[in-house]
Amino acid sequence: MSYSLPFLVLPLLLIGCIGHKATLLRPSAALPRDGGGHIILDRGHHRIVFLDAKGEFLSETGGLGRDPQQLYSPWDLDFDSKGNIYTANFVVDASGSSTASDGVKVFRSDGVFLREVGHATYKEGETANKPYGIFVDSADRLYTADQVARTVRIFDANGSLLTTLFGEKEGEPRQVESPTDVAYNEKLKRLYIPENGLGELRIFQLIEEEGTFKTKLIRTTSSFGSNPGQLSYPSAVTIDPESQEVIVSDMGNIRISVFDAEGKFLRSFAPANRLAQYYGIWWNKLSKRLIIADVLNNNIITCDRFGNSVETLRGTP
Amino acid sequence: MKLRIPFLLKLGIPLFVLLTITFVGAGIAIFRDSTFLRENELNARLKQGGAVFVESLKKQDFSKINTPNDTLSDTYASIHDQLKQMVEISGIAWAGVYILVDGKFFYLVDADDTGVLYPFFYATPEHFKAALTNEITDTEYVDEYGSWKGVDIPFEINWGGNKKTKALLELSVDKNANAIINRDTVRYVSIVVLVALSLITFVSSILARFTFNRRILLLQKAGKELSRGNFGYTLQVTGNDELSDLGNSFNSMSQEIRRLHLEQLEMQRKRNEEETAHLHKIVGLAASVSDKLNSPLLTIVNTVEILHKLIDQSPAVSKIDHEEQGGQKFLKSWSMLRGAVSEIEAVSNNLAQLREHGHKIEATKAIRESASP
Repeated sequence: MSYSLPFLVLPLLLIGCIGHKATLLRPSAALPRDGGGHIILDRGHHRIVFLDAKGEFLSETGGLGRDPQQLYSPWDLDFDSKGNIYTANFVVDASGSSTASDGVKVFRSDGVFLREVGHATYKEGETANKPYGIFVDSADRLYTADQVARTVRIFDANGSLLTTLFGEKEGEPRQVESPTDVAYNEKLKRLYIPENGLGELRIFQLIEEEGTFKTKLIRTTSSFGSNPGQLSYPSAVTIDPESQEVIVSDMGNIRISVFDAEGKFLRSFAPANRLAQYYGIWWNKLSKRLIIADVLNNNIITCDRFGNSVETLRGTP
Repeated sequence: MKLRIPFLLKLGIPLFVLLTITFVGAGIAIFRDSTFLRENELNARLKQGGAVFVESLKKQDFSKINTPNDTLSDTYASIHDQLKQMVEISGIAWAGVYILVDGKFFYLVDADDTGVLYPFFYATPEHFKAALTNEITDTEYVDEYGSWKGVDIPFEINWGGNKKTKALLELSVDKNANAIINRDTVRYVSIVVLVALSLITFVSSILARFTFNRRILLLQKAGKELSRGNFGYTLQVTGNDELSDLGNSFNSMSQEIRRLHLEQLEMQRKRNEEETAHLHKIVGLAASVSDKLNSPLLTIVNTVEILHKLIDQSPAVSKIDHEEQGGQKFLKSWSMLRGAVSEIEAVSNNLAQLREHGHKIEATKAIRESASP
């Protein structure tokens, strides 16, 4: 009896493999889609999904695996001036306990895999970069926030490494501890880095001189806690270039906190109005709306910069 | 056009499909059972090892870990290192300690340094059950880091101002990593099985071609010979199987057809002979009648001709009163006599023609019979 089961189950499995997953699972980041709708990093399903303006499923790319076009543990999304989609990804080894490889995967706007930037493989026990957050500036430069290596790397538009900032340097104190994201204010030439474990937002001046990069810490704002202006496990950061406001997903406090360009706390809000896990955030300068991934409730929330006129896209694909 | 599928394909494809289904089905069942067994063993090992590990922990140390900054402390590092060792020794993906504060779970120390008081949003009823009933429980969930399956071992610590606090040691495996390993294994085994099955089918086909196809072609050729009229054609039968039975049957059939054909020819020949004899008789009779009739008929005809001339030239005949009854009768009888003579003459001619025709038929038959095998 038990051996006849596979003959019944196999066709159902095959049918199941052909069909699309019914819901979003732990979406960790989202972007606006050209033509309406969203591009969502459906992390639990190891894919990037494309939804139309009504939230209907259009297509997907990625899928669980270790192959170049597949995703294992992607965290953040961004896109360049051509509409190419970037996602930071890492792959664990067979035991699941250490990182085997990582890098930033680049897909065309229609989901076709293009290349991997900053790809690295590791032996057991070797310290990995483990990029969590990414940012792409107007010159299509890619910035990665490497949580384990404690670095921020900058790649040019072709994917060549320009510089590695911070990291462990002998005899020098660490400038960043556990960066989970990075955002760059091109006007002010400032890097904003949320310190996940410390509950801080660090602001650095980025100085570029003849192809070399230097940083200068301007300010460490906030501290770990739940009071206004304090942060608990901030996971992501985005910038409104018009107001210069720095918007941080204050994940542990279940809220969004907003600071000015100098790091002064302005306000906080909780658009989901219930227990939520705000993770990836992205400021849409065209619609002037904030896009937030609620990992816990499998939703994508959009709102204005004050947390008003909230719209929730529930996992429909 | 009707698609022609070679016999070997008809034989080979179902064989291949049957073998594939059997191997794949059995493979899945074995794989599933072995996976289930392995997971159960791991689960039992984790429960046992986890309980021993919890006993070995210095519970009072946890009271020194209160904020994210404490990750830099020696106390944190000590517990973290023990958890890291547990991960390495057990071959699992993650080990960590949660605490239950105000109805919510938070990470306290874990092998991945997730962070002190990092909120654990994904506590399942099993987590609460473990913490509240002090029972070791199995857990399975998907959080922001991945998909996990493991065990939770409850214990109690002093934390947050020496308050008795429920804590859970969780030891878990990465379901995604396992899924990839399983998928890779299935993929690898599938390729091996498919290659092996293809080889088996290919070799079977070659063997079948040598053992069956040649003999089938011989049968096909024999059938064509038979259809060309080569009755009695036989093929050399080898082996002792269904195909050799078929070959023997074919040979018997071919011999039987030949025998029937010869019988039919013999019957035809006899029938022809009978017909010829019959015809011969008729022709003979006709010739005899014709000969016998010929002489008296000639005499009658000549006599009638002479009489005709005499009557026509006789003055007495010209005086016959046509209106007289006797005269009329004479003329009528005379005319009838002449008509009868003409008819007898025609019959005699027909008999002569029949005799000629009979001779011709006999000659033709004689030619045909001499030409037939």
